[in-house]
Amino acid sequence: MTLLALCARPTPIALLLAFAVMALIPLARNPELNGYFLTLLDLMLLTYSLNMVVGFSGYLSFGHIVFWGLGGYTAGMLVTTIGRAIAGELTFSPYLLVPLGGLVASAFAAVIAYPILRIRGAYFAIATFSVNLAVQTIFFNVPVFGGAEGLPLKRFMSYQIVPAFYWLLAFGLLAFLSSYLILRIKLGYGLLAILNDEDVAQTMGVNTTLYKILIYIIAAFFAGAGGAVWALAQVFVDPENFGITRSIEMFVAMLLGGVGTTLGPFIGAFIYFAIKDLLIIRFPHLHLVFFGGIIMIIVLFVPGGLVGALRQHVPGLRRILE
Amino acid sequence: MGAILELQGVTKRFGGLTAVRDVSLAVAPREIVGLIGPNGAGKTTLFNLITGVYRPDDGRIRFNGERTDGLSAYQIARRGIRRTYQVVRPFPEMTVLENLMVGAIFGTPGQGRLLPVEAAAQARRTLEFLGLGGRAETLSKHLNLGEKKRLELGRALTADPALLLLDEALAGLTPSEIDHAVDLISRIRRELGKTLIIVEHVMRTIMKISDRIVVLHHGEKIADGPPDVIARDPQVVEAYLGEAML
Amino acid sequence: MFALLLQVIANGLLIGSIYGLAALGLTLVWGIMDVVNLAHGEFILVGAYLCYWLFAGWGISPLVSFALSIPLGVLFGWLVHVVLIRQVVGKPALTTLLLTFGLSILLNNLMLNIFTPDVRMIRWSQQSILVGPLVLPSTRLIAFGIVLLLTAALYLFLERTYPGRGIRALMQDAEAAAALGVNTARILLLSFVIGTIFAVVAGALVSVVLPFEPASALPLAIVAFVVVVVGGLGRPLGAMLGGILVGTVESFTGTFISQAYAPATVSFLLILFLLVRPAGLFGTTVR
Repeated sequence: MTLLALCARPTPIALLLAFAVMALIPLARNPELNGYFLTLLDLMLLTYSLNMVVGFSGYLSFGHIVFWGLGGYTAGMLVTTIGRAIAGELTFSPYLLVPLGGLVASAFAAVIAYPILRIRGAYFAIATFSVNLAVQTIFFNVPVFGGAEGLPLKRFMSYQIVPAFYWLLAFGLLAFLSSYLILRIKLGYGLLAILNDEDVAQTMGVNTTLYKILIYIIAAFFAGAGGAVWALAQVFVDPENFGITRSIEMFVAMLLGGVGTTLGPFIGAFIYFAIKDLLIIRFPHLHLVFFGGIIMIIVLFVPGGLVGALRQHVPGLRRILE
Repeated sequence: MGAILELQGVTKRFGGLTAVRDVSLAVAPREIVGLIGPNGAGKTTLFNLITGVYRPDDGRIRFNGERTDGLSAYQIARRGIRRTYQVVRPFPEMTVLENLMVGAIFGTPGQGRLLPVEAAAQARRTLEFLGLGGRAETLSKHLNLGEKKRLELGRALTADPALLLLDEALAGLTPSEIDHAVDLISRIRRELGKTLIIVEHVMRTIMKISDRIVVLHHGEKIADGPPDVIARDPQVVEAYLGEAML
Repeated sequence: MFALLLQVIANGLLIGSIYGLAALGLTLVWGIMDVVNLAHGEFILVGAYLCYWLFAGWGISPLVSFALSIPLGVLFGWLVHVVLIRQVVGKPALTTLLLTFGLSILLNNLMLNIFTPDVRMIRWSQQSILVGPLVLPSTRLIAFGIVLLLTAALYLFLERTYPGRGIRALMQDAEAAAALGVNTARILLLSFVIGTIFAVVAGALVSVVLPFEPASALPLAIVAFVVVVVGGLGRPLGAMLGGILVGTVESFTGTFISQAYAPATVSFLLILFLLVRPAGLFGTTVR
């Protein structure tokens, strides 16, 4: 059975089409539009990453933004180091460094995974919070990383939004396909078993430790790659790349779309931006207050998000939306 | 004929309390062993020791001749031991079919390389065997207790284990459900060739379906023999009277 | 050097006792209801802003605000429990954590809008008491006294009163408590309200001894979580001792390493404890 045969279903086909349509956006040559979708794709990629851990394994990775920040700093450090070495602008596209951002985030995930994934529930959630805070403090205070001022990159590269857009689009698609595939192989069934009841999963032969570590590393890669693209697109990286705002945004997007689904992060990112635009016009300073309320309403009344609610109430969609 | 499962002097302590003390036990292939004893006798703890949820403080456990004490739960499971739970624990947010597919996918070696499509086919066969075929797409949290117990049994069976541990598979069932379950258990041995250890409180039923009864009391094995002998054993009668008086 | 060491310990003790008070509220709610309130930091700030607002706006003495923060805690805790928390007691950790995460975002941004992101601190009394080489600011001493008072009150409540024993029963075994006729629903409400009171009062005390801003909610919450983990879940005495320990560690790092690393030290302490001694310093059971 090939990947192609697996994807001959409504959800992947619809999403492939959607990504293809989005690939046309830069042709409009509208910088504002490009910027808007760059932000949206960045959030979508992060949400896919978060959803792999939270939605698939049930581990509440509250400090997930740490991988995004590490990816950003990896790109930033590489650009400044190489740039200083050759004393000028990079002679190759800095976006080629993006996969390294993902790999460094994955490596960090691999290092902390074994100890941290032994802790469950609220303890895990708070531990990941603390990891992010500790890492942020280090980047804030260590001069090599630029301290509080961060790393400006414009001496070594020029501002290019279109390549950033396509890199995010490609990684977004890859994140979706990975999510979709993972849920269809042994790893996915093992993770679902862990999400439902980790102890039972163990006595059924699931190597829970290995599976949790694997998904953590995979998810970190996508977040790290996203962070690297973002840093290069901004031509700047600072400790705010570990900040709380984006953490909130990805949770809202994930919950809006539908936790644990492969369509959820895609839809969720769009709904999030639609709501945010509406709110910012009417309540420029209060939109996060509303998002706090929205999280609570979803958790209490529509825990499956949009995809979950549609699957539950429209039986015909159950086999179509995944 | 060697034993499929062999316990030698197995002991487990929790703090100052000894939950299982020096238990030795051998189970032959295709045997049905009834494990009985008053509440708190250590029956579930013994299951947890065999399946690797706990490690024994003392003693040895062998499965198919291989030492398994010290292995982790998933490693023991992969060697071919599955269990059900006293308080049912199906995967609540998964359908009945998906529950069984997890069983099939993470089955014993050789079965473990299944693709999900094959696992689904195998899961469906098991569902038919259990008479749950019509419930395949139902979320397991929506099943009634009898169905949940059958689901757990099915989840264990799809893994094609050599040894099945059933923890109070009959408790809380209606009389007709009990009849059905008893029939299933004997078919599991007869048609599928499994070895079973069954913890049960319904005394009449366990005496009927077991080849042999093992009695635990305060964590110690106090009797081991054919059902009719056990029923007349004065030590066993006393242990149960003691419980009745509490 | 010895005098400096004593001073650092004294600072840690005085600030840490407030952390302990804040953590008492968290450990009660967490231990009894199995609900981890991620909005605990904002609950603390509610008290801090009450105190600040009354002092800056009307010149009302913080001593009055300390007293007022108790009825405010009752009202606020009751409201949050009835509207939100009651719906999710017994649900999976994912549900309760996400719900209180939403509440934390809502409250935090409300505070940002109402009170602005500016750093506040009440300049109430600048006097200090000198004990040998030690300089003890009077505000911190007053706060410490209030902590002792409230802790003693909680202790008496848990030991001597009927609802207090209900809380203790529920903390040990929910099923057994229900079987013994403890009115679980009422005890849960009571626990949440008490937890909120402790958070709000701790916040009121914070406002006179530490600078704070809406962004302080997260570090304050993390400190409270660390204290709960260090002290052992559901152990009031552990929370108090844990608070003092965490306060002292923070004070040491701040003095001897760098103020910048003090929050991170607390995080490291948390991770260390979760890995090495998940039941806390004073707990006995593991997992």
